[in-house]
Amino acid sequence: MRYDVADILKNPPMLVEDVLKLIADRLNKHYAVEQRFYGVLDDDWHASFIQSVNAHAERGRPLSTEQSKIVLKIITKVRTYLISYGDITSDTVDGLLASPNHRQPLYQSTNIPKEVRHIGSNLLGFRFKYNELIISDIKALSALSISQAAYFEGTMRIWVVAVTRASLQPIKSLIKKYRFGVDCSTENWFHLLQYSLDKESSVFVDEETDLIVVNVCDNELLAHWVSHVAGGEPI
Amino acid sequence: MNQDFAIDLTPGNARRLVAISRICSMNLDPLLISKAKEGLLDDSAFDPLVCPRTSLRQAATQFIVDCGYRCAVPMLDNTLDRRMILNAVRLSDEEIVTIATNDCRGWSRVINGYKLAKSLKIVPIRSAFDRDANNTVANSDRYAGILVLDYPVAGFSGVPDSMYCAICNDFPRTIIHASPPHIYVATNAGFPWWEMSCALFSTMPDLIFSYSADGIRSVMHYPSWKLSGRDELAILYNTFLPSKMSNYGLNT
Repeated sequence: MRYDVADILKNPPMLVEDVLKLIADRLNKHYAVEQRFYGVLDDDWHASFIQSVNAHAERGRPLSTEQSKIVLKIITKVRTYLISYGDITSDTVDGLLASPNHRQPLYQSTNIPKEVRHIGSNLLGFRFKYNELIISDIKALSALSISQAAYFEGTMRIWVVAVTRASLQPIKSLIKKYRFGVDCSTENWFHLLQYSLDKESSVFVDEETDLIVVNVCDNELLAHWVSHVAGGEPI
Repeated sequence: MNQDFAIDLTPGNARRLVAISRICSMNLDPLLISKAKEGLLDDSAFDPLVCPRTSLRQAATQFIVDCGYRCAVPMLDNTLDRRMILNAVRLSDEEIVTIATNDCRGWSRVINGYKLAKSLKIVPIRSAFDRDANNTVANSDRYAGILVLDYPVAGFSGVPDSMYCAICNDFPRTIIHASPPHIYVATNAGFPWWEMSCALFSTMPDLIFSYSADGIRSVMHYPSWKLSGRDELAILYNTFLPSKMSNYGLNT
């Protein structure tokens, strides 16, 4: 096969990022469902993934190997629709799928397993690969605590969430929904929390150490008083 | 939801926990109750000439001492006046005392008759906010003593001014004193005390206190809290309300 340089400059080969943009544009615009791949990509996960990766690529950043793999799967899924809409020819899309070209070299994806751990006090640490859906669900949990909002801990790269009476069940649902791994000690801690519901807090005097030991059960405001007003230390 | 904490075993902490147990379900160790009866102030803490003892003054003074001189005492009763605050400061034997006020003359007049700190300063409130160009504390030594912050009466919106928060943050031992508008004193209700508490404790979940009493009950788990109203929670954030705490320390 002979390549004509002038022709290539005039019609540069289609890139994975270009097709991703075509797909994102169709999802963005308020087309009827038949103009929007018949709803194949209308679920939250696809919508969020396509928009965030497209925005990432439009900022001139490279895709990861995993992102590229998923984008190619999506292109395969909607190949016939793209051709029928006239957005792309069958030769172009097949050529792209057979030998994908990217605007910038891909970088190797890292594998971060989704896991959640009890990190002491009344806090859970969520570790996962960047995912806007999970982040927004975690942020929504903040409204269920009267004293502590969820926050991102930059050094450990984890999201820290306070567990309260109101947030216990939503947190369990979130763990199930996104299939977070839970280790044994965190599992036991969840059992303890379940057992603590409606239990009274207790106060003991430890004369040996000259300390008052306060076991706070199911009472967020009392825990806040002990730790932030009375200068109590978690033990 | 299930946490263990350790706090220092002092009569003051014991008394505060006993007082909190009256509004919140808790199992108390009998040793804690006996500890709460130790170190109570008696008549000798008051000078009949300068600051005569009343049961309310005794309760408020005990509260100030137990809170480690980090508290708010609004003048919702005539006896909770500047004399009472200065008397409580006198009991601390603190060497350095600063009074930050917009009424320097008024405080100067009251101060006569008290044997207070060797180093006593009455300064305008803005001077207590002593920051350099980088908004850092200019001279940290002066924060070792006690600050009496004469909280201005004009506002009381429920949200403290950031300058007062910064001042309270600089001085670990701050007594906020305020003279609320007469309407609050007369009705003894509706006073947004959480504004001062929030200045003292920046992490306080102040938003819930702006709810009505019913609103608070809706966000707090009812079986834990035997509360009949929002004002009963003032003790949690070191604010003395005479209508709810007149017996503090007196019937432990």
